[in-house]
Amino acid sequence: MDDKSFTRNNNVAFRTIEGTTFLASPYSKKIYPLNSVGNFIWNNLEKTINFRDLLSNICNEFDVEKSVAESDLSEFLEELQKERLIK
Amino acid sequence: MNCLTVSDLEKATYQKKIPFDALIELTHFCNLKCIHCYCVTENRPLLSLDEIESLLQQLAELGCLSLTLSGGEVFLRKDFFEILEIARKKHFIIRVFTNGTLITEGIASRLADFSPVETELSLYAADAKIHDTITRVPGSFEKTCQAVKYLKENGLDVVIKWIIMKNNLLEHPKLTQLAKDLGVSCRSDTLIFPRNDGDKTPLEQRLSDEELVSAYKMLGKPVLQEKAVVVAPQERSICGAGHATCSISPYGDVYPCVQFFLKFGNIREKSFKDIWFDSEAAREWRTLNTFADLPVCRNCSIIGDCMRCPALISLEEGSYLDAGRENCRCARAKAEARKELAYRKEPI
Repeated sequence: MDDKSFTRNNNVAFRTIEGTTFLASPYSKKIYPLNSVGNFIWNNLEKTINFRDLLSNICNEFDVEKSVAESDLSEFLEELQKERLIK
Repeated sequence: MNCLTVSDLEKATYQKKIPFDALIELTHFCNLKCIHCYCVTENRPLLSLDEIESLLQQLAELGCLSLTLSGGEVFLRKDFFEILEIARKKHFIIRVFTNGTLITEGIASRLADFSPVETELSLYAADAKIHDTITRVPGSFEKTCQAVKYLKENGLDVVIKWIIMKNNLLEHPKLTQLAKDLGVSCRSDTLIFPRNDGDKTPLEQRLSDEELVSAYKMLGKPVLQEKAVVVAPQERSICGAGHATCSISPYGDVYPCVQFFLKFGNIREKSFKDIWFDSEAAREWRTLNTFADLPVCRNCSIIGDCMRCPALISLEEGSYLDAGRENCRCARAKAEARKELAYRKEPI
């Protein structure tokens, strides 16, 4: 998992409105609001990034234990992939 | 992750006056000559690619997410794919309105690269002759149907839509079946508007009172609910136009909605932001929120059935504050259709 790379699906629409970023899937027509951590991850996904670097960036930015961040990140990326928001 | 629909977000942005949903008419030129069409080409230059890019940037900065590109016929613009490219780079949800007649296999494939959330095509009949009589271009039915197939083959979500009018009233069930056969969604409406220059010729296609009742009986849910919706005037919103939605004409005029000619301003003269927030017309319009704000409508007993359209009312009555005879007629027809359907359900 550490070396696995991720990036945004370029066809996903998104907009930050009053501090909240909303992702819009062209496939399911659903809209996903992101919290501040989700927003941070989404910004990091602008360019291709591997899991290890992404995790490290999160730990540097937020006051969180690495094991908790790792589990949450893994789950979040899985959801984004399932909805084809990232590749 | 929590999820929302576009409609949820539209409601959330309504109060904050965020132009969440924008429709840009790229041109009024069209290769069809539909008998009911409202577009009138003007002797003013169309927005250039640079002007459209600047507009999209401004809309994105204000929180606009949902973008509809409409015409006239959008594929008549040679720079249409460049516009799509800019819209994609600025991360909009893209919806395209077209008559489909210029869509080849190659164009459908190029369009698919931009993943529009929906591509909506106008198809007025399941019978080629009737459709072509409405568009006044022989062969247009075949081309539009072929376009639907090309778009579907490229994995795009397609909606076919039509106006129910005198010339195609009996086509409604056949069109619904055709949509099913083609594997696409469908949508229809009964409202016919005068042309943008006030010409009332399209209104000749409006259904009579009896035909309207029959149309609503055919449409059924969700247009016609089994029971009349009883709603207090202060609970019934007027229209989201100009609050969370806006329309920009091919010449840069900013309106609350496509045919709601309450001009907020022109993007060639002022920034979109200044127009959206500072226009006197916008501010005045936004003081109206529910039917309780409308003296002529607040005591009406059928507001639950009324799809009050301020654009149509302005065009026909002169002021968006008026009641709107056509909307009233439609609401009465719905009530009558419901009565007739309920009567039929009673045991003999």
